Amino acid sequence: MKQPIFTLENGSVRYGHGHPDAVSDVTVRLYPGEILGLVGESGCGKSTTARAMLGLVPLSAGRLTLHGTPVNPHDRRLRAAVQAIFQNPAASFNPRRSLLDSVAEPLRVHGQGTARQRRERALEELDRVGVTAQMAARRPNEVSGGQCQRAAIARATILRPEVLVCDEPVSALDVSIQAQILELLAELRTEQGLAMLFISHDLGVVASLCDRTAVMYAGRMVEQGAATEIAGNPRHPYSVALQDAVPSLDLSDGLAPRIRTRTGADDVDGRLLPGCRFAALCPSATPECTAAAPVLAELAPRHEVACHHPFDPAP
Amino acid sequence: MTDGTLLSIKDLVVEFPTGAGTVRAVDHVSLELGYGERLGIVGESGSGKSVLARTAMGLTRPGTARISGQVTIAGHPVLELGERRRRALWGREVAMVFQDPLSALHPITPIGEQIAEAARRDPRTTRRQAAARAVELLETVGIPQATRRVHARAHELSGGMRQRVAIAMAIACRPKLLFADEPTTALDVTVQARILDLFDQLCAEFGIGLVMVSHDLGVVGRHTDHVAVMYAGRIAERGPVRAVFARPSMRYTSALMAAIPRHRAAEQSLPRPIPGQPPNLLAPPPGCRFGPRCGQASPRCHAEQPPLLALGDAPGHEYACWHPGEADR
Ligand SMILES: Nc1ncnc2c1ncn2[C@@H]1O[C@H](COP(=O)(O)OP(=O)(O)O)[C@@H](O)[C@H]1O
Ligand SMILES: Nc1ncnc2c1ncn2[C@@H]1O[C@H](COP(=O)(O)OP(=O)(O)O)[C@@H](O)[C@H]1O
Ligand code: SF4
Ligand code: SF4
Ligand SMILES: [Mg+2]
Ligand SMILES: [Mg+2]
Repeated sequence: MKQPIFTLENGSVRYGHGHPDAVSDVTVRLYPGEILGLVGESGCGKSTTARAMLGLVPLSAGRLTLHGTPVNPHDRRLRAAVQAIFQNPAASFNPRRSLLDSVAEPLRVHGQGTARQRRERALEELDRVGVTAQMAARRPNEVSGGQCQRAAIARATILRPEVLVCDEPVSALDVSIQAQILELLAELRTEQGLAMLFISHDLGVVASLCDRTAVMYAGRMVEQGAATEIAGNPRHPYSVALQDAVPSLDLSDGLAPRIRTRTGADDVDGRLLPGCRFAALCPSATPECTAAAPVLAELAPRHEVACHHPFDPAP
Repeated sequence: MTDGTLLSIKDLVVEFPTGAGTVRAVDHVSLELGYGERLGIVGESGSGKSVLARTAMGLTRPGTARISGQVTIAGHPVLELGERRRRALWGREVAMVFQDPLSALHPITPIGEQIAEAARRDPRTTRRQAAARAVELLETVGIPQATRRVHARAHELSGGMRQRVAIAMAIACRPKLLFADEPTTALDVTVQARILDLFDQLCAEFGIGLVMVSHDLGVVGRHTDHVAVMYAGRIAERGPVRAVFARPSMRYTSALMAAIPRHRAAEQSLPRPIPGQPPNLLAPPPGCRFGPRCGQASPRCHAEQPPLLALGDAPGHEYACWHPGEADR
């Protein structure tokens, strides 16, 4: 089997003392040419996981590995190999500089080529993601969100990284433009063999783009598997509830939710519960669930679930 | 206007004069909604959904915009009323729920007091009745332990709970019509599903007519009866939800549906992008506004604006397109 190129192993992050862990014991493995989707409700720790992998927040436990060997978050190898794009690309560009200048910047920082060569390379890279030279001369606030995100992708790929971390890259875009960016990311995966972490709160986006999907709840990884499996045959009760809630365009889809979460406990912070963090809402919870936290275990090949009583589609 | 019409919008045009020229945000829109019916207005950002809803409710101030056309809500000619009489409609005949509930809520005042205050827009309601009504409304919108929760403050509540409180305030005086502008866009999907169920319940229980504005076709699908798709300020297509979903005919509608990622499709496939970008409303293209992005556009499309035409088989299904058809998926 392929070796993962970049991993976070049993990572935990805590933002200051007195706070519960924002993410606990999370493992993420990225393989070349594969997109891993990361889903879960807001506050569950998706961005924190991304930041930990980018070395932007310190790990209180766990480690990163690159090509199978542990790597320090500030290692220069990591800087070159792992790049990122975010939800709001305009905010990550210098507002007073042209897109072209910003895209060429990483080449300058890494001391590559002459100014002229760097411009040529940046124009090439921008052209590849569908930004014309005329657009490239503009400033970030003079172009649309879609154009800006394309430029951000060009800037992230210009150093030919092996890994791209994408935190909600299409969430601010309209669907017609979103589909353009998804197509572009799918091309990058196939043509450059990039490994990607793709964070989204939109399960439809993840189901249509990603190879595998990981589901987080309250700072923990609760399920991981093939994207089609997680969309069609989720086994963790939280994943089932999440998939049930997606409004579908297909009006003939079954209306009845497969799982009814318990009401009245919406405001409970699962991270403070002993045992399973979903127990307050879970209709299948038993005393065992509050006594011991379930660990991720393989239910089927490459399909892992952290639950004492996984959902059974055909009981 | 017939007796059965709750909301009637006729030939509405809303223009904003700006330094760079005039933005026509709503371009000759006509719509009708009967009592107790639910209409979804969908379209991408900037297509004019919010301006349409706000103007229909009488919220667009004439000083900032040029407005023409007619709007009636439960028989009241909204655009012709003076400020005082227009305000008197708010809460009692028509109310609005926004994307951000904090825009409707005071952060410190206990939520019970705020709901009671909303209930007192009806001058027949006494202070005591209003306080009792606040508890009742919290229960109606699904907030448990209402007698205790009336003392809570907005900032102590989750986003979903805040939206429930905003809905309680909106329906406090039993309006006949409720506008909801992206009411679940800021919420997680599981919370969104519950809020949408709440709208269903309120419409069924109290016979409230609902106009739900959303960029998400899926949200509108299960929770409204009729849908109007907007593009660049115009109605591209409208009709019964099932009819429009089953047979999208204006090319933008079909392209939009193909651009939405399929969630539980049997085979994984990427959504199909629509090339280009929505038009700049300062200089919209002539003819069909979708022309520059449309694969089926003919010279006629670029010259003549297509009118809304009826599609034979479903009453009320209309589309504005010279070359209608479904995107070949
Ligand atoms: N800079 C920060 N300081 C303190 N707490 C934070 C910070 N960033 C995130 N958190 C907390 O960490 C948890 C996870 O947040 P985040 O990773 O942003 O979640 P997501 O991206 O899934 O919405 C949340 O409880 C959030 O409030
Ligand atoms: N007060 C205003 N002044 C100038 N332009 C405006 C104003 N309000 C809205 N617009 C413009 O009108 C168009 C429609 O806006 P809106 O109704 O908010 O779109 P939607 O709700 O569909 O995203 C946009 O191009 C927007 O920029
Ligand atoms: S471990 Fe128990 S409480 Fe947690 S998700 Fe599984 S069944 Fe529910
Ligand atoms: S009228 Fe013409 S340009 Fe407009 S959607 Fe129809 S085919 Fe396309
Ligand atoms: Mg985030
Ligand atoms: Mg809007």
